[in-house]
Amino acid sequence: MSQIKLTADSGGGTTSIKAPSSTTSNADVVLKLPVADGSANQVLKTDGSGQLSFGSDISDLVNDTSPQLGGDLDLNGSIIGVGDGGPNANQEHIRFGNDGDLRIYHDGSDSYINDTGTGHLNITSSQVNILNPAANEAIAKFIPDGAVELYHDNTKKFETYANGCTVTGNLNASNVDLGDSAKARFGGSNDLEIYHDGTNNVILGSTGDLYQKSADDMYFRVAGDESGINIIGDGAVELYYDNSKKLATTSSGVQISHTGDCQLQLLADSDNNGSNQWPHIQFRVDNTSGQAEAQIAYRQDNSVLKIDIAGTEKVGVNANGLVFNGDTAAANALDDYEEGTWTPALYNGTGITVHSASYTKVGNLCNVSAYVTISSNSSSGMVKFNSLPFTAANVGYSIGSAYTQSTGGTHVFSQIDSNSTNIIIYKTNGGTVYQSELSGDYALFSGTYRTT
Amino acid sequence: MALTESIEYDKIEVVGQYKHVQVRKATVIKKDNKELTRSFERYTLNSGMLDASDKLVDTDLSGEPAEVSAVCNAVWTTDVKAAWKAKLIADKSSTP
Repeated sequence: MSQIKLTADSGGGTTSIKAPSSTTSNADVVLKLPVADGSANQVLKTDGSGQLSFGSDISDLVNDTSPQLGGDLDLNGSIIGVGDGGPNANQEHIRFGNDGDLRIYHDGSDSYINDTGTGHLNITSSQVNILNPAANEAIAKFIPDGAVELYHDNTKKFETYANGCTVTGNLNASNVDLGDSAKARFGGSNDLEIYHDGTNNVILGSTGDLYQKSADDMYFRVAGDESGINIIGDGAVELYYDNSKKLATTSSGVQISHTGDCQLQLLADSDNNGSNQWPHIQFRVDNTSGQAEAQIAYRQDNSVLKIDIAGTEKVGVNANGLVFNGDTAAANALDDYEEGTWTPALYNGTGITVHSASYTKVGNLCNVSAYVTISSNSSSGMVKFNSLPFTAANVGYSIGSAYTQSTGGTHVFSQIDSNSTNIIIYKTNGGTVYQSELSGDYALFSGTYRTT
Repeated sequence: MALTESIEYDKIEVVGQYKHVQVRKATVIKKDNKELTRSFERYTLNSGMLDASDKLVDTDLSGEPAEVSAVCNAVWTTDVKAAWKAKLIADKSSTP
């Protein structure tokens, strides 16, 4: 009997339980029914050993807390839908790895590929393209053995190549770090280079001029933050030494200043090789000749600091003194000027009162004058005053003028002997004026003589 | 504000065969150590003068500052004095 029929209580029909049409190798199969009824929508399942029980339907994935695939999942044209979620256990996402190392989800606003586990996120491809949602504009391309390209609005802006990268358009960056000797180069032929060579900083222009422009001032600082050159907009250019201003242009020229001794040095031919390269200061007005109206120059070849007017030396100073009109003769150099007082004393005589006595020396000529009163005196010595301010040269007598109070109608003169420091009063006939003749009287005299 | 006056013997020169000593005495006025004026007084010294018997009387240097005396004593040798004396005697006879 292969079938058991059960007759319903009413209706006249039957329900049958039927064995298979054949068995394998005469094996017996025993199916044991569960003890109790199952729940709604449950199905009768076997445990593989003939024990039947009620369980969930295979299609009820919603209620299956641990569904598993027994083989490859073929969507057959359908989709796997994952709702808005997040990376956490109670949020919808697709998870990869035993520890959920990689998670893919959409949080309602943005989509995420979240690799937080072990290892890296590797994307392998013959070329990786990142495109817009419509897949018709490039955002980035990663080409094996080739470039990495970055796009803006489907236009390539950045591209790597074998020797670096190319940026098309502007590059805005917080910092651009270049290593030693790495250069920022400008111009089609690298005409301008800026770099640090490991020791020094270099701005190198190889073509044309170098302009630096500023909307207002420009400052060149050295040694940290010390002033070197300040260029003031609509104002001065200032040069500094050790952070102290030394030279500045002004609205009318140039000013050199320093606290203490202030020096303006003009060094020409400083190697002292004797060639005629002279330091000049020129004073020039806009004339048609194109020559300096006046200049001060130091001629090394004849060691003269000279002042030229209209190209002709008028005054010079050399080792011999002040010279004129290009004269080089030592004897013609004016080497001294001095004025002061002196104190005549009566040679071999009694005292005198000096009311005034002065001298002026120009070059080697000295002019002396004096006004004295001779004390009461009966000496027969000559009236001879010594202690001239300068010793007379050995060039013969020098004659001057004199006036005495009591020689009356007898005129007198003064004489300065050569190689002496005396001035003597003589009568015009050559006679001696004795001290006794001028006892208590005054005398005035002057004379000009050559000094040694 | 302080005014000071000082004396400097700023030039002591020996000139000529008779070793005349030319002295420049500078009077310097300063205000707060800044020089305001410098005026000069000069005099010359020779080794002596003749007395009535034509004997050379040495110049009295007692009133001179030490640096002047030192120069005079250094240059007024016996030979210099002898030459100076001879010159003075010669001048007496050659006076016009």
